[in-house]
Amino acid sequence: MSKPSFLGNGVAVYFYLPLLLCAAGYIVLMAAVFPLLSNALSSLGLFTSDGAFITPETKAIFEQKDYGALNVEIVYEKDIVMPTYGTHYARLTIPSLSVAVDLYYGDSSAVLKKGVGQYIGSSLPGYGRPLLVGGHNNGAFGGLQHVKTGDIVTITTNYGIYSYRVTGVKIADCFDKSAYNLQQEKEQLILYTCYPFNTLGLTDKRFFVYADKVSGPRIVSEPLE
Amino acid sequence: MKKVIATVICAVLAAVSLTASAAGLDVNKNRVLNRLKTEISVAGKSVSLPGELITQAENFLKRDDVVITAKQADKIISHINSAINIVKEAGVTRISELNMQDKTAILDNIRAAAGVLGLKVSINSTDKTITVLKDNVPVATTEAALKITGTGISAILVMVGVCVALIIGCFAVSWKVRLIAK
Repeated sequence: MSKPSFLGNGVAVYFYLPLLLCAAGYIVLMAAVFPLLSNALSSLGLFTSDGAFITPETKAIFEQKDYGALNVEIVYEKDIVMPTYGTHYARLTIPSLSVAVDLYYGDSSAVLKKGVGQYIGSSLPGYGRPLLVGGHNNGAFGGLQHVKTGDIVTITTNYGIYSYRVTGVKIADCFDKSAYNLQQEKEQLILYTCYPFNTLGLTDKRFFVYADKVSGPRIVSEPLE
Repeated sequence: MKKVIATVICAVLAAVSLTASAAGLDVNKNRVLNRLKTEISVAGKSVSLPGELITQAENFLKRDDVVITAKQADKIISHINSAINIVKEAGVTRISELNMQDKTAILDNIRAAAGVLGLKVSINSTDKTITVLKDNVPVATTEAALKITGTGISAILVMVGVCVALIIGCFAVSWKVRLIAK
């Protein structure tokens, strides 16, 4: 029986043709099979991420309202609906970076596929305490690499519009707890994503963006009647 | 008589203010939260729950669908006190320094306290994190604050699999059309 020979078949056979077939195959797969692929990713994600609980369902309480109605100085706590884990409760925008994304309470992998997620150990906008929000570097927060000091980040909720001015950035290890202080007595918005931005693979570095509150209603308890 | 009336009025106003000022957190919720916030002294050091856990508890208690009666608050605080006493008697300032028996006892108290409100406690055996759930939805967790926000391992595995399949396919096509001489 003759054995296959790899000699003398030319560059076209061993380079251009496989490359063309790979590109064509990839395009066909992505265009025609992507819905099935995303299901496979989700299924595989059950085994490779998130712990004992699975919360594939997310819900929304955010309603796009007239901005005039949200331009208030104080909001009573009784008028605020506290979101549950996995709830889309606000919209986060960074006009200078063309970032406009849904903000969820909670930061599971299911949430991060749909938007950006707030760590539930941080406070909601308006409470005068820090917020920690994470997003994918190959998705909503890919533009953070171009952020500049002075850029404005806006979080629009059902009860008010909050603006935060970027004060700085930092690259730190994901286990470095000094990179964020959630116990400080001021409302600081801390955005983070994986770093470097174009890494194909897991990384232990995070890119942090820090922004201080400049406007937005203060949440107060109901006054005496 | 005037003093009695003034005292009664003050007492009523105090009761009203206590109720009215806790629109998000009523008296019972505040009692539970304040107990969770309490610092204790162990071996001469001040020990308390991590701030992130307190914030998670506060965010949960502020929810309208969370209602705590006075009796429920008493039970929850009783379990918190039991857990605190275990830590005090062990004389340690870190959970990691507790022996298995004490850890189990504390976990039992956490489960019992959560059970008062119909919450469940789940433990991830891989990363040893504890999550408290209401209707299978997390309300509090000891998971790390920072999550994976880059290309996930599942996407990497699928992409590698696709590439391998394409390479094999290219070879098979080349073999079939006799581009590779036999």
